Amino acid sequence: MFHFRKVVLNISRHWAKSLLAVFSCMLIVVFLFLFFSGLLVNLQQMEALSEAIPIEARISNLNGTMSSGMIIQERVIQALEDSGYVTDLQYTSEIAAAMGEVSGDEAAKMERGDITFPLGLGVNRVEALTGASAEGFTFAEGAGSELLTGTESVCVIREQEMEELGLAVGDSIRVTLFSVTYPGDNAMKNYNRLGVYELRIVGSFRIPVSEIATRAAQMIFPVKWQREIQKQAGSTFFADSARFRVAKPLDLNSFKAEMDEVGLLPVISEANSSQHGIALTVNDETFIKTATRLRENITLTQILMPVIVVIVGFLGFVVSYLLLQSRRPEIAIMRSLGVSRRNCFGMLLFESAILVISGSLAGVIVASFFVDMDTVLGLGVGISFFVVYMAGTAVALKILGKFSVMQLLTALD
Amino acid sequence: MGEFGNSIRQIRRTPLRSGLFLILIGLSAMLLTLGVVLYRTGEQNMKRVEEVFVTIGLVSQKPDRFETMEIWDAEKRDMNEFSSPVYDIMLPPEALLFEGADYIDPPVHRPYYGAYDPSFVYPDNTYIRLIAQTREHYPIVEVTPLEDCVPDHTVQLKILRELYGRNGIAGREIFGTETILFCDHYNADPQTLYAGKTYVMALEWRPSHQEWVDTHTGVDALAGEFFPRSMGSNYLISSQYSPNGEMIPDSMPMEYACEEVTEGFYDTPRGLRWLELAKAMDMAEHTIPVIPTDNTQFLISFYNGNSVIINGRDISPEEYKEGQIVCLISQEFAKMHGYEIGDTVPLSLYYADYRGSASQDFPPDGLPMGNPNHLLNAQGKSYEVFEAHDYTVVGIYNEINKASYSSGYDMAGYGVVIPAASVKNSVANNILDYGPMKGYNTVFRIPNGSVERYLERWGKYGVDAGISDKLEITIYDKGYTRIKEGLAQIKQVAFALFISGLLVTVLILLFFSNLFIGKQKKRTAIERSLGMDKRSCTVSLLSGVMAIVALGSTLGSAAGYALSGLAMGLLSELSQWVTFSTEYSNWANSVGNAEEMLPATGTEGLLIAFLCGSSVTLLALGISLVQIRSNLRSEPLKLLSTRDA
Amino acid sequence: MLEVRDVGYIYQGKYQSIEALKRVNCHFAAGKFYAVTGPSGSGKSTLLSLLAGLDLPTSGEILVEGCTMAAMDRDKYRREVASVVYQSFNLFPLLTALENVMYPMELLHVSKATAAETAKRLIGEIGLGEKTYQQFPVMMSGGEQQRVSIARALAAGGKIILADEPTGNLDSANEENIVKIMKNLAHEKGYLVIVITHNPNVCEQADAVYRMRDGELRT
Repeated sequence: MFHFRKVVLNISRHWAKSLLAVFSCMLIVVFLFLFFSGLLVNLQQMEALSEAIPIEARISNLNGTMSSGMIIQERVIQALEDSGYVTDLQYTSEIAAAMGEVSGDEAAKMERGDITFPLGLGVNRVEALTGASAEGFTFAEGAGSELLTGTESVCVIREQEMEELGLAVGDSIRVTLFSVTYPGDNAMKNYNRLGVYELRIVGSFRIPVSEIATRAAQMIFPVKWQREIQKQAGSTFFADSARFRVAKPLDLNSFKAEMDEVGLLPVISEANSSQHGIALTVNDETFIKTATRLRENITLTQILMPVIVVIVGFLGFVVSYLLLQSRRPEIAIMRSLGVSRRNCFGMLLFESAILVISGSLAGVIVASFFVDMDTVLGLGVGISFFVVYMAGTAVALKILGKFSVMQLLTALD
Repeated sequence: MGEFGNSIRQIRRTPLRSGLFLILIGLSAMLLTLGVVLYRTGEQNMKRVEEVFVTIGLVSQKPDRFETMEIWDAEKRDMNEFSSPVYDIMLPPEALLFEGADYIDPPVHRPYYGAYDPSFVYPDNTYIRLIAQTREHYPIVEVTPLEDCVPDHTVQLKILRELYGRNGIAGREIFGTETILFCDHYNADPQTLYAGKTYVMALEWRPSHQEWVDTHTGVDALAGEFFPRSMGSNYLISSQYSPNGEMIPDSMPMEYACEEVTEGFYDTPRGLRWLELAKAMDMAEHTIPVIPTDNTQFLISFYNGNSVIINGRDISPEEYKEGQIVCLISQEFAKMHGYEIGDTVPLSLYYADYRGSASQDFPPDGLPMGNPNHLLNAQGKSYEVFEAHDYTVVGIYNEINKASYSSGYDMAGYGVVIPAASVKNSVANNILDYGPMKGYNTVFRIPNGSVERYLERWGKYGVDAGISDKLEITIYDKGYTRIKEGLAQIKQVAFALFISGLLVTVLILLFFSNLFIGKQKKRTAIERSLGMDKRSCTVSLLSGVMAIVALGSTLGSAAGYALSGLAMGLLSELSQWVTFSTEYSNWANSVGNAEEMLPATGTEGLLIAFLCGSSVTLLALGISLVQIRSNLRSEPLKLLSTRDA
Repeated sequence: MLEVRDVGYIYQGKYQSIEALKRVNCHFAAGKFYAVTGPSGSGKSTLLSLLAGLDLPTSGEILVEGCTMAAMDRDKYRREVASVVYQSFNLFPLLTALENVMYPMELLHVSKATAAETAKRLIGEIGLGEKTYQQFPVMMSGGEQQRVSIARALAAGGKIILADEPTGNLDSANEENIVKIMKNLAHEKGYLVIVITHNPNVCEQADAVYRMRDGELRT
């Protein structure tokens, strides 16, 4: 109790020095806190970039000129579906549909391309239909867009066709389906009869006039169902478009390495036009340019961190040393009055502790005016600084304690 | 000099304290140098981040209503309904000039230009022939029916002469036969065609009627048939506008693209117009679209990264501003015509189209003859060239991921991008068509991060002005708004760090002067009692102090400089293997990116170190002087009679 | 009460060592007033510091009531047995006179009230008034400061007072006063008082005088 009172008394009587110490601690803590906050906000921003600037990617042909109407191997689609780096995968597959049962000669004629088909599209989700928005779709009661993600034999038909053919949502229709290929590696399509299928109409869709970009699909199926029927019919499945977002933009390099393994090529703009969807384009300019700068900030801060921490720690030490040095005579008197060395230093250490804690608290409060206070960081910086400063004080006391009380007291005379 | 020597001597006699202060000053100078380097680098980095983002707004006027039109379909023998948008008035971009809009570039309703040169040709391959709108599909021919007929169904016509066709004006064959199938498909009440009479027609191709296919062997739908161009696609009628968006009435409207040819017909004004149309169509075949802009990023295809410059460079902001005669051309166009960087492309601009998008009229796949529908002016003449320059190619771009159907936002096939300011002459007499503002022709730019503010003010103004429901404004900022706060925070923290570093330095100096110079009070008192004047006392004390400060701040800032250099070097080295891979990146081939991605260079490091070192020294000098003055103010005798505790 | 046996002391300086005391032998008894005198640097202050237990002799030993100081808790010795009075007073500059006097008692965990009471009594006994209680050392004259430091020396209740030139900074009136206090302490209250001094007047009043020269003691 005596020591505590003496400490409090000391602090108040040495108010100028105490204030100096508190102020130094405060500034150093503010500095340290802002330094680490800088690092933290950069790191947080880096994390936030993934959300703020999503990276979109799509499969294209080698010269990059196409984004749909291609031949994309099922293996590629499977790899994308399996990849942990891919999210929001949207892919479509062309399939031609003729109403009713088409067989024999007629089908052969169709396969020759004598008759143009309405375009059907297998989609893995509504959004895969470019330009389509959820509002354009009307589903039967109890049904929803999730039906398109499943494997049921259902379809959604464009309103125009529904009207022309006198169909209604809930009806079942029989259609003959044809797989689509591009044998000439140009836009000329080839159709191969898959069979006759019974489909339930679960909804209709309308594409706003302004969305000319939308492909003129007239009938939409769940692509998973399409993959199954093609498998059953012994027909090779190809997707005609695929796009997705990169799930973890910060792991962009790993994602790209994986795509490399899948066998996707970068776009070569000089290449000849082809229908084969074997290339990948990643729209990551904004992300990379922003993230690189942030990463640079982070790296530089990290490189300088040990230096700055050492400097600031040392400053703490020097400050406490110089402050304590002027207390030497006082220590000598206390010692001469029989205060043990331990008690003597204990008191000064305690005094420093009170000052550094007040300073750190003040520092954290001041710093919180500039940045959002992160409790963990605040505590971390406060405690680390406390430890460093107290270590400095201890070392300073150790050095200061080496004097001979006798010499000092007599030297004063 | 003696004062100085004594001063130094006395400082040397307290080596620990002097040494500590030397270290203290050195460290603070070092801290300040490192802090400033860190701050400057961060600042530059943030500036470079800002440059990545461009915030643009696309303006689109919404139709006031849709009008339903009924058009006869001869195959169905019934009316087909079409709806088309109606705009009561076309709002000018000035409608968007309101207070507080803060445009960097205000909205401008831009046309695209048609540039003619006989050397411009489109690729001619089977595939394109099959699907494209080539001249086989739009012939202007003189024909005669095989027998008298009312062409409300498929009839056969014999070709007598081509004014414009597969083989040009002197050509002969269309689809390898001398007869073509014809039906006045969209006309509910077609006029009778008489055998033996000659008719001139502007035709367009469409698939055969199913009825004809069913009743004739060896004929399929692709054989197709022709109909006279009518309504909106009737080339014979002018769609010329005045610059304020008003249509100039055609001097001689020719509603029906089919006319009997009689003796001396081509000497009559009507006949002359047919010849003029054939000439205009021939010109159109050698026309490429020219897209004027003030910033490459205003072209959405570039903005969203679908188009990138793969060779050469972008047009610089200065070139845009000054209207230099430079251009960007598409890779297809460059390949087809053998253009390389530095070559010149002759661009003779002869019409301006304010309605369509270049990419809708000239589809991106580089197909010819997308062309606007109306090629003649109100006088029935082809448009005259109003501006002609040889534009120097500075960059070649490539558009990837073209949509199968143009949304209007893609780059046009063979599209040439030029600085809008390079077109100096008036287009008043060359406005081929005019339409409302659309996202592809009206773009503005606002400062990054001001989207919310803009929309708020626009919302208020738009309602007041009664146009908020007429205009649709879509703003793109590449995600800037979402990272805006974060960036601001980074900048704020960096600045606060810089300030607190500065304060730490000041504090250390105060500390220094208080503990170090304050301690010298007695010495000053002794010196004064020995008869030294105040000035000499000051010099005596200051010289020693400044020796420490100068040495400390020099060493400190030098160490700071060395360290920051080391850190920068390490950063460059690290960045070589920690940067993001640009494999697969849409902009990987884009030139100039390699150096753009290099880390900020610390060229100003030396300057920063020098400035920090000198500021610390100067600051120390100032603070010391204040302290010394206070020392001198104390009574020497009083000082001497008390003890130096 | 205090016995100095063959005590030697060497200052270990950075560049040289100084033999401050050479085989000093002497004896100090309770209830007596001793003076130690000698020229500057003769080792008198060193002897005093050793007697105060601020350090141990390099050679020889000091016995306190027959116990060697080396084996003692010297902090406790200073707290409870021996107190030092310095020429420069060595008061805590930031403590008031009262607080300075209370300090040693508080170290002994005497209650604050008792300590204050005792301190006030002691301050009274050495001839200072109430107005000095709340004065800081800088506000007092040298004589007053020295009286406070004597009061502080008495506060702990130890029976040994060691004074290093207590009158060195004082005028003759104050000097006389201090010597009188010291003498009284020895003769009336049974304290052992050892005073280091250059002052022949002080020597004259002492019960015994030790003269020192070059670290050696001559009686």
